[in-house]
Amino acid sequence: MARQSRPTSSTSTASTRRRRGETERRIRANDREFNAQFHYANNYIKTSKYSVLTFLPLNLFEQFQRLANFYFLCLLVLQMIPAISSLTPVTTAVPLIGVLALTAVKDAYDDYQRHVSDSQVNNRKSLTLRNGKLVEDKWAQVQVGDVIRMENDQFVAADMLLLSTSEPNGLCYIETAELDGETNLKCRQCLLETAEMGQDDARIGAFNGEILCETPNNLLNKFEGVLTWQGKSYALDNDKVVLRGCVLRNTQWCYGMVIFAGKDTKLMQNSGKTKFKRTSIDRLLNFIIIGIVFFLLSMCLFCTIACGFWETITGRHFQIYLPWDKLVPTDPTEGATVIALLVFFSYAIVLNTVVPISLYVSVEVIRFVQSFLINWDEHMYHEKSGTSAKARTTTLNEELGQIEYIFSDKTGTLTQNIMTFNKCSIGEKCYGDIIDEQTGEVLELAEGTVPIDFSANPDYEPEFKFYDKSLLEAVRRKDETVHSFFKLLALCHTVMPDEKSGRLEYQAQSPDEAALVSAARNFGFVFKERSPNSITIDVMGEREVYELLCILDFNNVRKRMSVILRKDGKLRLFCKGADNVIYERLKNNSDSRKIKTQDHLNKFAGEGLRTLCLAVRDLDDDFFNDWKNRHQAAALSLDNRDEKLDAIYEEIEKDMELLGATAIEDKLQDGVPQAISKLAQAGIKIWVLTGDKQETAINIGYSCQLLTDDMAEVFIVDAHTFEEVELQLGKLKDAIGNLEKSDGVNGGPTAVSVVTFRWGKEQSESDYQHGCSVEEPEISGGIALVINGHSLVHALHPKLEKLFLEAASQCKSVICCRVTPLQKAMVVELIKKNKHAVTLAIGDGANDVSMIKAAHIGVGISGQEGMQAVLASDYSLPQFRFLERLLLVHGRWSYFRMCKFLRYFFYKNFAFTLCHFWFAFFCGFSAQTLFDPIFISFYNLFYTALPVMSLGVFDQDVNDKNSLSYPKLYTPGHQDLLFNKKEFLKSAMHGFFTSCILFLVPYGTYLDGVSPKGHALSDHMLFGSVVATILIIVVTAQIALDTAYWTWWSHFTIWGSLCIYFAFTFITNYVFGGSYVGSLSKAMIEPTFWFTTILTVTLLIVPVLAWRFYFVDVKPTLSDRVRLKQRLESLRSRQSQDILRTPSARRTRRSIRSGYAFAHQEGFGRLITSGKIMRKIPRPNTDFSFPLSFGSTIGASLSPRKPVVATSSSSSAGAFNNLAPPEIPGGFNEQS
Amino acid sequence: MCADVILKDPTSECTCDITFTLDKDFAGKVYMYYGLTNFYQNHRRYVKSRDDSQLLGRLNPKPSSDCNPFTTTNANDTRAIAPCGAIANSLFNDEIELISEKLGQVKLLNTGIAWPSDKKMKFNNPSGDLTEAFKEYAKPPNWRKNVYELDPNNPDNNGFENEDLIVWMRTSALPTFRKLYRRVDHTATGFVQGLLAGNYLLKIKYNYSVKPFDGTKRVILSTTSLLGGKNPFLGIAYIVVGSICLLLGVLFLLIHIKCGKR
Repeated sequence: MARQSRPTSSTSTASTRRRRGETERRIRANDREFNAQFHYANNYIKTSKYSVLTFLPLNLFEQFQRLANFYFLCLLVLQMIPAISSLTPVTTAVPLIGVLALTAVKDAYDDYQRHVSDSQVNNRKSLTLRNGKLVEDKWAQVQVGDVIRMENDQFVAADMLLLSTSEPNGLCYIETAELDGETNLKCRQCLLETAEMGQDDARIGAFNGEILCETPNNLLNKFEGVLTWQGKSYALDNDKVVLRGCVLRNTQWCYGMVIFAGKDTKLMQNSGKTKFKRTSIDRLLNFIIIGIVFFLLSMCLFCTIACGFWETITGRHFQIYLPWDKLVPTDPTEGATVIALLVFFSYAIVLNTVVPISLYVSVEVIRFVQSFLINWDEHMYHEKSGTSAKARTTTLNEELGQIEYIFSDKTGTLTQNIMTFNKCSIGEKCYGDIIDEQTGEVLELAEGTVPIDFSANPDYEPEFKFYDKSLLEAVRRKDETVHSFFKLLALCHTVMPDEKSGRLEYQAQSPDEAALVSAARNFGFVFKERSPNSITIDVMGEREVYELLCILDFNNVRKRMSVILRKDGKLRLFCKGADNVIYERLKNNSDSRKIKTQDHLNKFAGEGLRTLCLAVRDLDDDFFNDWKNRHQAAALSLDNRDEKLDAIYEEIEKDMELLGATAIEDKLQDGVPQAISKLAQAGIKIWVLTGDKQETAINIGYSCQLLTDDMAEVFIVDAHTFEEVELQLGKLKDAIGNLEKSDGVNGGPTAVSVVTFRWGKEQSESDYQHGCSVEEPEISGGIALVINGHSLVHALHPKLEKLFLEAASQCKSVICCRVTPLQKAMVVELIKKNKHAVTLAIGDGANDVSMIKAAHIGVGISGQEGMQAVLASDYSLPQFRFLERLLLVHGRWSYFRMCKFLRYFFYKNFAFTLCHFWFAFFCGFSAQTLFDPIFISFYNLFYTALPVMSLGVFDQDVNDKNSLSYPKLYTPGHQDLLFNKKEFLKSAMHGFFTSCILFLVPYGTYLDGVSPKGHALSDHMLFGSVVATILIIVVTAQIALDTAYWTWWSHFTIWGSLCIYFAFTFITNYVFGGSYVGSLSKAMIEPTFWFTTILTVTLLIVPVLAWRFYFVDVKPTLSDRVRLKQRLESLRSRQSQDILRTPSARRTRRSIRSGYAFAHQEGFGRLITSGKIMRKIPRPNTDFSFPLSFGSTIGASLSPRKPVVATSSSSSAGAFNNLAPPEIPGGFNEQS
Repeated sequence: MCADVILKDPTSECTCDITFTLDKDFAGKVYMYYGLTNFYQNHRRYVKSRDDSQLLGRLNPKPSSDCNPFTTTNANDTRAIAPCGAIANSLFNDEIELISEKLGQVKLLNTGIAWPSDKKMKFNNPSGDLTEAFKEYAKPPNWRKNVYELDPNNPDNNGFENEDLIVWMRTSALPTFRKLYRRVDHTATGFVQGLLAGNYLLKIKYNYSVKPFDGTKRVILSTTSLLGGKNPFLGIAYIVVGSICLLLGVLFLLIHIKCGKR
């Protein structure tokens, strides 16, 4: 069987983490003693790090592992030694303790949250069998080997072997959205032998089967094991196992035996390790700080040597007034050496403020507040779900401004995972547009548009919305084609009806099918129930029963499905499928309907809708019987069965008559295309990684503008072997190479920038021209890559990695489909590792968790059912479109602010600290501080902290509106333009010169300074106070210059800091009796001080002004220009506000492309015809009823590789169901 | 030379006479400063070597350890030193007299030379009789007089409140510095206008040794203006900076006209 011999791609790459020592797992059901000897993990989950007792030591230990903290601890110890201490230890101790305490509180809070969520999960209730009785137990107490009862819509507590279920044949339905993100129902089936136990607790309690199976691993689609029970062995595979994180659906109850629990479950094994994420600025900062430390040490070394010389030349003789310390040897050389060595440490203390401890605190605080700005942004609040954006990690904000790659999940992230029946074309007429009654123009769907009222129909669904009244009128007119059309929709599918609290509900394998059947239902063609050989529908309130003769099921090759039905003796084939497939099989006459429908199809496809063509064919009995026989023969053949069946199907699906076409909208989330195009303009590459099928992925790619028609090529890599993948990638590379050659100027990233700028301008113009005729900007350079999961396996192989990376990174967009969660993470890691780019992963399901964790920044979509992605994420957003604002506004601002903050911070600390260095030349390198120790402690804490904090929190170069309208503003972050080593050096040099001038100008004026009253003004305290005051004034003036966006807070902090400086100096000296009392006031009453201040400030600020003016005037950046524009705009803001309209969500696609709507794998067709999933036996009064056959099909289920034909059933009552292909129960949820 | 004499025997007396001529009148108030060079009053160990609490009059038999090694005189005499510390110990103690050729002795005032704030807030005598209060305390080793005998003519100018001490205790920022020594008494006849041109004699009772560390001593007579003493730095700096700003202004105007059309 070809299908099953295909390699299961996902399994071969995924690494298997084996527990040391455990090579196999042996479990005995309901036998805790036996299982206890293996010490398997129980179902308790622990993600928290600390307990109450371990918190303090562990947390401190962790904190001192941070280089900075350790450094300051060393400093503190040094300051305790009197011979060295040049400053009181308090100056270091207070900030250090503050930092440690702050971080500890934050860590404690985070860990508390983890404890809460752990205990919430651990305390979920589950029904466990104990000695044949059901006991309510906590999840945490569930052990391997326990048997658990689960009920509908409950989460599965652990990885379990299914024992019995409420559904016939031991079937059970699960939703695996938490695991792999797929929301369609999956079917699992337990062993028939165990299924017999039903819900007899006593019997199940006595179940003592023994399982020998694989060790815990992270492969979601693979399970191998053997069950030994009652002397017989049964093979176990993935089909008999339900995994933790799944949700039970449509199954009243089921029993399962725990195989893997807690951290051994596949869900937990897949979740990967939480890594401590750090931003690239953090890393740069660490590098810079190490650099600064070296700079500091070299300054100290310099001072040491100089001190040695000074002590030998001068200090030694100065001993008559200043004797050396007792511990210093009296020998001149030795003594000088010892003093010099001690001075090394003293200077390390004095100059340590170049590596300010408050930097770390300030950075943390700024990020923290920035996170709140993200949380509070009402533009990122989603009213429908009532959720807002949330920064779950507060340490990564500025990295949001540097994202180069976005990896996005599709389902639930880009799309809403809602399919809506949007339009249709029936018998040459197109329905679905809202036409203005007066003008005849097609109207855009607006808020106020009233949908048709279907309430006359008892089975109508209120959430179904359709706006074109003419279709309902056509139905009421009993238009024959329209009726056939809807009957087809109601009949030709594999949907299962289900009664839920009195309401009819449908369970479909794909949302597309569900949408079609529900559309028919609302128009009065209600699919009521099905049996293996009949389908019952309500047509406008009248019951119609069709005899189901055959289901020609869907598969990827056929791209269509058909049913053959008999009603009132008439045989009819209903078929729906992809347009090109259907058109090939239509009657050979040039029908106007074909042309019209084709036009409509093009229109639908152009609007990004997923289309299906519907066709019927009347059959005569002779032909059908003949065909049926051949079909049966083919179904029985042992080799090439699939191909033979396909050929047989081909025979009957021809000469069909076209009915029309449907158009389904795979509803994108609001604003996704705009967001994507904006992000792309910002120079961010967007990759879609999805578990979906290739077609679906491409389709979505088109509708969200990732793929466009002006792309040169959409290159698909879908090979299965290493060599083929290599070949395909090689071709892709050649294609890119060729394109670049032919494109010449347009190639490369510069082209993009040119284009986007034009696009920005074009918006307003093309608004009314509607795109079609307007020449699109030449983006034609792009190639898109679509790569399948099974090819990705090889592409990610170390040998091909480079090639793949090279090719993929030159593509305009990349879509990876059918990828496993782990592959998603691997792709992210690949880019992270090799491109050194900042990556962001966004997803909504548990299948995205590994990717979210792997990326620099993980974003979870909140407001959905599963919370796993959100819990693992750094930021959570209610909608994908908010990503645009998160990155282009908040990210950019955060980056801008952080960079500005850092530049200023280093500047101010260099300016401050180096004054001591200059002073060293005059004080005999004795490590005497120039400033008051109180000033030194307060400088970073009070005098200069607030303005720069307010800058770090509130500053913005351009406002949010312009940030969004000029996505190019985002690009500086990609090149680290705003803060890098060069920028740091600039700031440091700025600080260096500032300190130099700060010292030298007062030196000049105060060298022989006397007051008019004759008092000498050249004393140390006065000089220190003067320099300190000018320093504060200059540094504050500088921050005022740097502040681009003045809020009342900026005013408050900037003027406030000046006031605080003077107030504190006054208070500490006059109230608390500081030794500097009177120094500053003495200085300030003398005009010398003011003249000096004005001179120094001018000297320091004018060059900065000149420098800035020059660059803004001569080489303005985009940001400068936008700011200028913004300023001009705000001047005439009362004039007309030009509203930049974003292009319409559905930009018309020019190409004729079919996006056909079958997002699912093979349907339930086989199960339906075999009757396996039927609960009710069809009513006896229908003449074609027959007893259901279980035995033989079940035999097949145990050994799926051996085709077994349902002979017993076919012999009985001449039923038609033997037309169905042999039973392969596991087949339909096969992955590839 | 006196310096050498003192070097040999610090207790010996030596007087140094220096004559000089004022070419023109010093109009206004004239102040006399002493200047020291290469004197590291700003050295870390020097700066910290004082006990501010003691100087506020709170005498304590155990002064702050900052004063080491000038806390107690020596191993035998365990009396604490007042004022303790290296700064006080190295108090400048030359006595300078100014004699005008025409008018004889110039009357010099030794009050009003310290900052009022210092006198008020940083230096207080212990209460009661000074001699009694300082009985249990030794004078700094370098000193020739006790702390309560610093100004024999003015009982209020003794102890910690002695202005010469206060001036000295305000350590200088730079190794070259001047400190106010005396004010010329302009109420005396002949000095109302200031110091008139003519020949003068400086009579210096040489006590203070600067030779070992290659220091120098100066005596400076100076009048003051709004900006204090004679200091050309500010003026020159203002002229230079002003011209640069002007130049920059013109330059940027040109740049703006030429390239700023964006």
